[in-house]
Amino acid sequence: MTALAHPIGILLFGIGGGFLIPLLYKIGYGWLHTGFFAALGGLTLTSIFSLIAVVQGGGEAIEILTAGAAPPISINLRFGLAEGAFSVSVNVMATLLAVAHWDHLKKNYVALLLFLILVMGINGMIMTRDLFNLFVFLEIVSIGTYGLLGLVTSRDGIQAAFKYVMATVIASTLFLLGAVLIYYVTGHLNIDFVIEAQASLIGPISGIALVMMLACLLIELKPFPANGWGLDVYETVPPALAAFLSVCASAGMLFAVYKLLPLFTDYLSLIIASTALTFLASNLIGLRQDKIQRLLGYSSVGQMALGVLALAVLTQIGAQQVIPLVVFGLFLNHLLAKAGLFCLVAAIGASDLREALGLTRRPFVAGGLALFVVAICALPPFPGFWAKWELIMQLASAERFLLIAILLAGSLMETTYLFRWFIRAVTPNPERQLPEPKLNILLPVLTMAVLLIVTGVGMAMASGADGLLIFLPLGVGAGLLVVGPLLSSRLQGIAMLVAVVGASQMLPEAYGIAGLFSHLLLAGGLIIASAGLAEKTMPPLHYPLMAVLLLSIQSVLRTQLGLTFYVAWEFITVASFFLIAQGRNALPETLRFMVFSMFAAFLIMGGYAIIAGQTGSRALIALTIATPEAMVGYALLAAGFLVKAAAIGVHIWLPPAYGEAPDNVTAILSGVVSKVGIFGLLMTAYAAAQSELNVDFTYLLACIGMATTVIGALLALCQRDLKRLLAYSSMSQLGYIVTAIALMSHLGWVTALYIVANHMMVKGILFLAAGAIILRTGTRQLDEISGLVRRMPLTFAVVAVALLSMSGLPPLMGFGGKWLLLSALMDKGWTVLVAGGILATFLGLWYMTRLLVGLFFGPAITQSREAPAMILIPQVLLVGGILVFSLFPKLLMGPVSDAIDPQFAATLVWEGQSLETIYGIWDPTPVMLTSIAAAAGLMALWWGLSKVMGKSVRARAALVLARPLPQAATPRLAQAAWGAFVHGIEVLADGTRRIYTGNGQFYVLLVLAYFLVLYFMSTFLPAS
Amino acid sequence: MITFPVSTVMMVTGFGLILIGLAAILLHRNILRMIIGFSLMDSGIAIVLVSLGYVTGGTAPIMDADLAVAGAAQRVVDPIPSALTVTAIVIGLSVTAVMLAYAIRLYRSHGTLDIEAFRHSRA
Repeated sequence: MTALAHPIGILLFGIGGGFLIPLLYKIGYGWLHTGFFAALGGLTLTSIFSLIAVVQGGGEAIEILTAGAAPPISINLRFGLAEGAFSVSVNVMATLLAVAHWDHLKKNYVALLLFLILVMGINGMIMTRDLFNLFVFLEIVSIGTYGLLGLVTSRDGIQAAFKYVMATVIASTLFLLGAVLIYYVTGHLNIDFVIEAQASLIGPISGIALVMMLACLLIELKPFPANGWGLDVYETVPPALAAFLSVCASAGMLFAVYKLLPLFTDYLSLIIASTALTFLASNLIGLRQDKIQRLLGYSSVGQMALGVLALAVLTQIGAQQVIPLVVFGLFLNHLLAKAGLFCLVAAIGASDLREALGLTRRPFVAGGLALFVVAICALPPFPGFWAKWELIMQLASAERFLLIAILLAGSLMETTYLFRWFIRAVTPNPERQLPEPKLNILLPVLTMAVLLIVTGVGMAMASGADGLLIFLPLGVGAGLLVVGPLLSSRLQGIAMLVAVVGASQMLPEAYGIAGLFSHLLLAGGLIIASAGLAEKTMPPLHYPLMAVLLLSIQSVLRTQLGLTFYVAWEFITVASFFLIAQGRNALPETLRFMVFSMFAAFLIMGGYAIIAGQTGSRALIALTIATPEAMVGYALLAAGFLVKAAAIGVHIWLPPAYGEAPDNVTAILSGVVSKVGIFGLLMTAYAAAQSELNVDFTYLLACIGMATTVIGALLALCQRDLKRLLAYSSMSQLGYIVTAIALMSHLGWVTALYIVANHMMVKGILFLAAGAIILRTGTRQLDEISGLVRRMPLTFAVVAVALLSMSGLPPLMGFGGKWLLLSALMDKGWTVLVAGGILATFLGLWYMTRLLVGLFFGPAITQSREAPAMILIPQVLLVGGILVFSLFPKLLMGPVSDAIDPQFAATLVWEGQSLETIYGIWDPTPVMLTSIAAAAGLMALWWGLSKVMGKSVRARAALVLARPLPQAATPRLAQAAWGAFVHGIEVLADGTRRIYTGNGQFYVLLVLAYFLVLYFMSTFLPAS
Repeated sequence: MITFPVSTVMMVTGFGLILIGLAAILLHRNILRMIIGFSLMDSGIAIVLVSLGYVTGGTAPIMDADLAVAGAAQRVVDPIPSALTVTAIVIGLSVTAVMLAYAIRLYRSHGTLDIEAFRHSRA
């Protein structure tokens, strides 16, 4: 045990094992294979025990002196916490990849030998403290790689490997020259002594020497544009070997950069510029890459660049204390998730990203793919997320906004192409045969997934986020996932409802506006979700995801910390994505949902980071103390929430997502999830009102809201698809809420909350009813359905109530909402918006009439029967809610008013009148009576008309079937604009990747040019 | 007449060889010629390394009766660059061997040594 705890054993196992391999080969395969794994296992265990020893020793590094002398006479190696962490990560991963790569490794004993030497070389790079020794280990790694690549049998693989050899030989030559020149100047090769003698590192020779070493390490990490040779290898070698190069070999290089960074303090800006360019360019090109392994190559290159970027920038801004969290977190995430993805490529046996694979037939593989993709996209709770969050926060504190923009843009592109792959992979394709998964690939993949979860949870606990709020949703989801297979689908549903109710009781109480939202959304969410019980078989992930979704919403509403808010927000996004993806035709539409959701999330993250950086506080309350300089932060926050609220221009994700999601998921998305974005907007507006902003963008916000309402209503009017009509109607209603929030007055806010409650219940009913109608009629086209009033009378009744309430006609609560809104707008003097509101009300009435008349009246051309009870009951409950709040508005108004009052300054109260006065003006009773009479009159008129005309078909045709507006009146401007934008990005990506000509000579030229440019640029840098 | 120390002559020769090697790598399309370029570059580097450790008029760094330890540093050639050079030569040798092995495999599978022919993966 203690003998194993000396890190020199790592080298001994590597070299000793390597030399023994040819001998064992002579004895027999059993000995050979046992010997190989004994050596690799011994090496790995040694590093683990050594790390434990270091930790137990209080973190003091183990120094290894060679030749019985102290440096600088001897070469010394060091095994401290950082070295140990990297070494253990690399060795554990190498062992897993040896298992995954076994089919190739076992063919040739030379491969086993090379693999051992290679792993040993990486450990040497990590541990050594001598420049020349570093060069030797670098060459050991390089030559080992050349050898392993040479055993690749494919023609393309050999081609790529030769390019790789040429480029890396140039790189290591640079390092050798640089190291010897450093010796020439300082008289030392020992890194610590060279760092001590840094003062003497002035003058042109030192300058060129340092740039040579730096260029070598950066080139080995494959910087854009000098990285074609690396990408060719990632593309052509067996996946597990590509994984080894991408994560293990690169780890040695990354650590070498870390080790030598004190020498490069003058060059930090250069490193940052190069790595930022690499991160951006590789992710940009990834958008246009269809070969999976090459795509993962681009992602690898980007991730390693991000690691070095973080290292350099955190050093530059003096935030070294977070380097372990950020750099090691990024590294660990890349190590586990990228290796996992490469291994899955081996398990799937696919090379073209566009191919539909029907991967859900292999749930384990599909689950692994989902997990790794989510992890690489740096979504919580995986290590990459915590690292990236901290990095962004630090960058914001240092006001490095350009870097934040680059990081988020690159990450968004990476999310896009990885989810694109995932979506294609799970797209059903019965013709495609999937290979039987091999155990030697699945076991490592499983281990990587477990390690990813364990490290993610560990980092979450260390991150200072609210543990309960983060882990409760995940825990309940995981629990349901585990017990799911034991229960019938309906029992799962009941278990989910019980679990969510129980778990929400464990959460801390939410207060004020958040408290209102939490009660409303919990009750609404549970009621709508219970409609799922109508289905005998739900997709297996439905209920666990639903639990995560509903509980994460509660977490968002309860936290006081920006970090927890964002984590729970991302849980909502990811859970929604997978829920939508279960819709029958939803897969092609989910990418847009994901990209826009992440776009919104990144805007929120960026905005929050700017404000947090400016106030120096990570609590949400800090939003209220920001000074005018943080204006951009508020604008970004508002923009992010507006994207989620599907404001005009960025609304294009909503109709397809709502239209294609499973019916009860749509009801939850529209009724409940959309309100979380509204809550965010409300909180932002509140914080902005509290802080001392001198720029007022409330009018702009109100205009955006009203434009969304009007155009949403117009587009709803033009729909023939039942769910899309309702989707556009949701957009339109959300616009009302945005306008109400923008009023920034007490009355406006009361209105906003009032419409929130109304819309939740109304849309819950309508989408559930739509689901029931689609279930019973088998179609969702309005012109194929008619005359359902006799067949589905109960559904008709609830839909009529919901439509009446949404239309804003008296007597139901929608009337109150609209009345309040128009009064508040008038009060503010925004007459244009009042006109907009009236127009939207008119358009709304029109499409709602179309809907009601189209579905329920006219000849019964469709066979159907009443909706299932389990879909009707939630709707009836929601109708009950509407009626209660309509008859007793104070039940809602009272708490709403109380919630807002303490948070708002007195000046914001509407004309100084108390709410009692407002209620006094608005006495619903006479209006109610009048409107009931009016409605009855209208009904009578309808019946009369249909009797007189003999048949009601023609009136129906005019009202329902005719397109209300010519096509030209509703041009798809937003679609066209986003399409042009995406096309522009694609053209840019295609132009950029033209440098990858495939010519090895050109790649060598690029490597040389990279060094020369680096050197040329370094001469412009100011010396420290 | 201006005299150059031998180390300067060697240094110029070494860098000259490196440049010739690079030119061969970048200008010739035949990979055997490119490999010769890499070999020339290696030799050039070895010469540069040795010349960096040279002390004008110095003797071999062997401590014996003729060479007192005190003040030896000024009188002997620095042995470390020479030692490094030996290692570098060994590494250069193995790299050249690997490259030649690749050349053989490329020629066997493609029937050509033209670098332009090896462009299957790109963009």
